[in-house]
Amino acid sequence: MRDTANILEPSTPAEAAALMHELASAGTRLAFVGGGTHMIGEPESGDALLSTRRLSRIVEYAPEDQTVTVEAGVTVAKLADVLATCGQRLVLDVSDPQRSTIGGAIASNAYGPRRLRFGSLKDLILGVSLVRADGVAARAGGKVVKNVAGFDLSKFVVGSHGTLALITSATLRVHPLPQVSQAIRVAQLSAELVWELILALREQQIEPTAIIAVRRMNGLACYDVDIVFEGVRSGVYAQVDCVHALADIRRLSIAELASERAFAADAEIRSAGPLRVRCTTSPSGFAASEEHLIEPLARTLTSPVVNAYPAFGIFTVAGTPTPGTAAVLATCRERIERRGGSLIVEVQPPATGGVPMIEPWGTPPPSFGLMQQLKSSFDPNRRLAPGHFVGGL
Amino acid sequence: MQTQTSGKTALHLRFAAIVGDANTISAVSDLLTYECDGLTGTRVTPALVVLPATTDEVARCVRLSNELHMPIVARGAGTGLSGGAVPSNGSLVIGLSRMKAIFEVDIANERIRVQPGVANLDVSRALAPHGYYYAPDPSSQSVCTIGGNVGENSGGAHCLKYGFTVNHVMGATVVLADGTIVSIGGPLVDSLGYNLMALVVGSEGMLGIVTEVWLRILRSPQKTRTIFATFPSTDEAGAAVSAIIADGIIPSAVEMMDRLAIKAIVTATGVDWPLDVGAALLADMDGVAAEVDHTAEAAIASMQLAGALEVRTPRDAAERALMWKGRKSAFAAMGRIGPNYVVQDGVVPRKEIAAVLREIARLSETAGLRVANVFHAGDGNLHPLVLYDARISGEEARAEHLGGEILRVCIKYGGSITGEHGVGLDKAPYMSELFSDDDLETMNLARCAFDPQRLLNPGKVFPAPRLCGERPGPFVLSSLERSELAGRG
Repeated sequence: MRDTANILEPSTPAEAAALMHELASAGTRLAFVGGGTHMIGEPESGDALLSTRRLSRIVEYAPEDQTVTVEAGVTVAKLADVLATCGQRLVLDVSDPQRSTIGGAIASNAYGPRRLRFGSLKDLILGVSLVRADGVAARAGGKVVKNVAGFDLSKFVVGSHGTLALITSATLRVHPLPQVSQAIRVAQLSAELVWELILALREQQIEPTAIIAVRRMNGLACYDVDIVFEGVRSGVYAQVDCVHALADIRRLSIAELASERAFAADAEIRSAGPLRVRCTTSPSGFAASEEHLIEPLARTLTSPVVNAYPAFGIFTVAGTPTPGTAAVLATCRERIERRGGSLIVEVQPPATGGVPMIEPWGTPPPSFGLMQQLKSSFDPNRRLAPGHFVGGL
Repeated sequence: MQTQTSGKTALHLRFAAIVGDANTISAVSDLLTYECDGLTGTRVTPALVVLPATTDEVARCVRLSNELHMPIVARGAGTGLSGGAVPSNGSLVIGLSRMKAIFEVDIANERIRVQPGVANLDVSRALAPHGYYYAPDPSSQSVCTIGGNVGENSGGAHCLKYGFTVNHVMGATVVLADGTIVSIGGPLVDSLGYNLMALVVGSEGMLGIVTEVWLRILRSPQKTRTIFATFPSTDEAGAAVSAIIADGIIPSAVEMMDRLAIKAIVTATGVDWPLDVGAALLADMDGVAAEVDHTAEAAIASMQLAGALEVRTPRDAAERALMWKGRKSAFAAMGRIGPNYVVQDGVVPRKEIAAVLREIARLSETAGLRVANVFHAGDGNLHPLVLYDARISGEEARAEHLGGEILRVCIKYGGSITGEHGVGLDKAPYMSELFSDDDLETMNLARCAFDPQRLLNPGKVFPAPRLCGERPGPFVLSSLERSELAGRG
């Protein structure tokens, strides 16, 4: 990360707009940073860096409406503390809540295993305040949970990686904290059995909050699957009993564990090594993914770590690359893209000789032309993190 | 006259070459059907209507209308309540009602691929044998189409827990303003790049014409419990809703009806609801059986504590269906208590419902017009129905005015002018009260990227016509308004 002296740190949205206006007049290129936990790629050395660190106010919290409006630099942990005083939470899984900011989470479409039940920030965001590349402040959406007035720019900026506008604040839907939370681990399943377990859970019409599959070894029977239930006591334990019954019939090995242990897998994979890739596929292809993607990726890395959200088709592989890794990544990306999925390289070792091991995003989608038009509509002079997103957006 | 007739014929023939003569509508008497949508007070006759059957036909129609400089208005079932499908002058209406195929039911991946003309309820019907359903459920769900739902980001009673159309659309095939066909989003949980789907859903037909849609589908819940409760007034009913939510319970739906709405529903449908009450709530709890039993008991306790006069739970599925039929037929039932009505769709923070209803009652009294309220109380989405008699001179204008005043109350309380019906023509003038010029200009940036010529559904959503690359000025009436719609609320 950059020398902190060069970082701009506005303390109010108005100050941010004024700064952005100045930068626009000077034609300065810039990138935005929150906690710096989900950035893909490094800002260019000559560009300005605008940190949202001091945009750290909780603007309005309406527990009765289950909504909260916060400035972009509020950390996930700080917001969680405030919401907990009223028995509520923002259902957003990030691995480093002390550092991760709400603005950064929105810009990077951060999510974790609870997306299964609660959706992602694309579902939880209700409104947004932005500062455009030209320094004009604007907002879209609103503070109420239901609103279709105007184009929904709040959901549009989720996952835009700072290439469209600066997010200064957002209104988010929050949920009640669960009465109880309980995880149950089904051990040593092959990828086929992981998928069969998911189908069996659906058949029972139970509603897990999260399903996390962690790959413990190579070969068959390699996944431990943690199923997490949250909610009112009676509902959670009825569902835990249901999983016990399923396991008995199928002679599966299971154990109950604290749900924090299940969620720890996400933090663990982030310290697994200098390379981490996240893949999106059709959920039903999990066994095929194991054979054609996960196994080859794991084999090319030293001390690989793999975890998956198999119910919605996401898996992450991390570790230390070996000399053959770049070629394996390229092959796997080609395979996954052929089936309509994607392979995003979230972190990789520093580029050698200015050339990264692999381009982070992969092949732009068929709608890329529209994305380019949107980029030039919102940022006509290409000053906001140019080249940092898919296809050089 | 001769020239005009032969001109129309030539136009008819050119489009008929794409979609077939039977699917090209140009006779004035047949065009009447397409003059308006559910906002029946605003009518404009289109130049021509086409009913294409495929994405390719839609694209060819769009390209031809580009060549002829005709604006384009896409249309589903025409049930929209904000005038989003009202044609503009000289426009081509592309009706998607023939595109009603369900292409792919993919239970393993919990998704379904449909054409835009499929009725909302038909999606759930196709899924029912598999134990799945499609969550958004506008009251018009038996006729309204998925394409229309995508255009308007439709909601419904059950979006309190499960979200709106935007939360259930994964991807779409879209014909853009220049006739190109593009696939956006996709069948997976995320797709690379900008979240274009979020822009297209709710764009009211101004960014493209959706010709195929991937929808996310949900496993049916283990159990659903319905509770019907009556209260002395909307104050107690509102307090009950707040208490339920404060308890950490998210019902799948909580609907409120006031005295006048109950009277209309009882008269029209014959449900055995009491008439001598001030308000009623209809709530659904769904999910895992053990949880539903707990939350339903807690909700009943909250209702009783808030002063419920009576709490009923249906004996069987038939009685439950009847209760919901009562609620969903509320708009249609208004005919029993007044010849005409205008409906608004404002949203307020949940905690302000009781205060806002009292303000509405005061405005109603001042205006001398009755207002019935039937609405999604759980998410603060009001549907005040202002009753009037169009035969009485000036009463319609007063009703429109009162509707507008109600929207201003919603804005004052930090809410929105529309929760699910869309802005369309009806609420476009209020957009500049809710948003600044800079806000609107920023939204317009998205439109300019999709449709720089502004050929798709011109005159909707934005309060004044906006060019691409033009700074916004003060509000002015559009030419459409001057020629067709002067004097509306």
